[in-house]
Amino acid sequence: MILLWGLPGDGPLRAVYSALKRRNAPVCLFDQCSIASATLDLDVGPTVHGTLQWDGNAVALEAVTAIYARPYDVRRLPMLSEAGPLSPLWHHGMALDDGMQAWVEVTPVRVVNRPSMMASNGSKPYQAELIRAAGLDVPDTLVTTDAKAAMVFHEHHGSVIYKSTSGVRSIVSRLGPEHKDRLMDIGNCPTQFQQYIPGTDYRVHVVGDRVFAAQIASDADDYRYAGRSGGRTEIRACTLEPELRERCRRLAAELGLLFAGVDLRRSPEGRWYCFEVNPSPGFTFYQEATGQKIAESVASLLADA
Amino acid sequence: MLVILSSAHDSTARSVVEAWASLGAALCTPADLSTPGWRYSAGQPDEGAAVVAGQIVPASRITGVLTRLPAIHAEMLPHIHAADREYVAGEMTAFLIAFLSALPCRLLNRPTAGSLLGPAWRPEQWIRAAAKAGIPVRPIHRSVRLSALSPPESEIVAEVTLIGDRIFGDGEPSLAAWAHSLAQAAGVGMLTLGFALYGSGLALASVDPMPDLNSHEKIDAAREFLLADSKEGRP
Repeated sequence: MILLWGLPGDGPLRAVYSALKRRNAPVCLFDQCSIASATLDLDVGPTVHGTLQWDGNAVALEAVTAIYARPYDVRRLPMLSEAGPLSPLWHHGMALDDGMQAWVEVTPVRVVNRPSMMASNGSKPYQAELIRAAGLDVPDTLVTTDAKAAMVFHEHHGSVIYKSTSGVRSIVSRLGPEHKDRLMDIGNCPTQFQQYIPGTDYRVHVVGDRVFAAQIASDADDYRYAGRSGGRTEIRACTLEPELRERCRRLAAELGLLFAGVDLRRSPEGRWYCFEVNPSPGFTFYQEATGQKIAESVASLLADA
Repeated sequence: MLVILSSAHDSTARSVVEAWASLGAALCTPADLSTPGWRYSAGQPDEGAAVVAGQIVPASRITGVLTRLPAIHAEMLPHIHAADREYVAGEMTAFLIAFLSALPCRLLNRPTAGSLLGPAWRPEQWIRAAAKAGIPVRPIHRSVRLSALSPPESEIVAEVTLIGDRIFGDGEPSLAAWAHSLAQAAGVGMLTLGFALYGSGLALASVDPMPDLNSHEKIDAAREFLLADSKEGRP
């Protein structure tokens, strides 16, 4: 039995579920919204076993052969936020999430991806060092509480962007003259600045040994939000040079990720930079634009475990 | 310089700073992260700088770090606007993970991507790692139900703490050997293991990667470990 964990309305989860159904693979989806009815019994020692039950379903944990985990932040589920942090439902939801996280960490079966392997994305400069160690270039980066150091960095590179240091999703923005007054605020919290790299964006999905590359043409600093600034984004499938493809594959493997979204940019001089590795990629955005069979590939990875 | 990273209210951390006063030890608290002077340049650890006890310290001057918190939490940042505290705490933690990981000196413990204290492991992960290392373990049973009460605390009958190469607590040699094995498996220099009676003997029941430094001997062991590679540590 392959277990999918998350919200049924989540695009990637739905796409993988459908792909597994098309293959007639044994699959069940543990809907995070079933918190109130869900129970978990987990026994961990020399072996791992237990039972997960929800809405009339019962799954023996030892019967699960592979897991695709895309849980939503449980604290933000409407039923929990409405119940409030002092409610029994809140405590149950947190305990269930923690128990599930514990299980997907210790189960010997294939997990796409284990939370501990995904953790490097929680500190972008930390992950950047791992990317560099794997042989890919990363932009010059400064994280600082010192406005003067940020200004020197800006002057040195001519153009820089700023973005969150943690895994919190933020819109990548270019530092401009209008930010100069606010620069003193960085004294309150270390802020990440990065050399601006002009060029063309690429999203590379690594699924086990398979690599799917997409080229993105956009006139926005952050193509994910091009629509908000009246910009445009076009995505099309492409082929990477074999050496770069291999580096992406190796990078995902070295980070312990069976499925990863690698963000690359090719400068006008032809130099490749890696910005980030997303350990739980929202791949349907790219799949719909390119027709690449990413969900099928993830389904194969799970079914062939 | 030895740096003790802790909350502002950690009395043990203050005791350690006092004990290491002659080595120029100083406390670094979350408030220091809201002070101009921090600098982390990716790939250039020597150009980094920290703010410790309000003073800017070049990263190259830091000879060891003792960490006493797994992450910066919102409640540690009363000086930050309430609506921003959670976000700022996450940013500070992410920054510290990168900054500390890049330091070439010894750390207790070296951070991982998930925690400033080392592996961000749940009890089940410690038990699995111990079982794989051949250590007898008492299985953990977790039962999650909407109406369930918290399970009773496990009864720890023996405890050992490992700091560097030194062992404190129960004198049983096998416990010391297990502590060394688990520390090696987890890649940490410091941890406390709790053992309970299970079957015909003792079995591992709990692990804490932040031992209580409640004696001069433990504090000395931490100092010895941190300074083992530096001039300050040599007789």
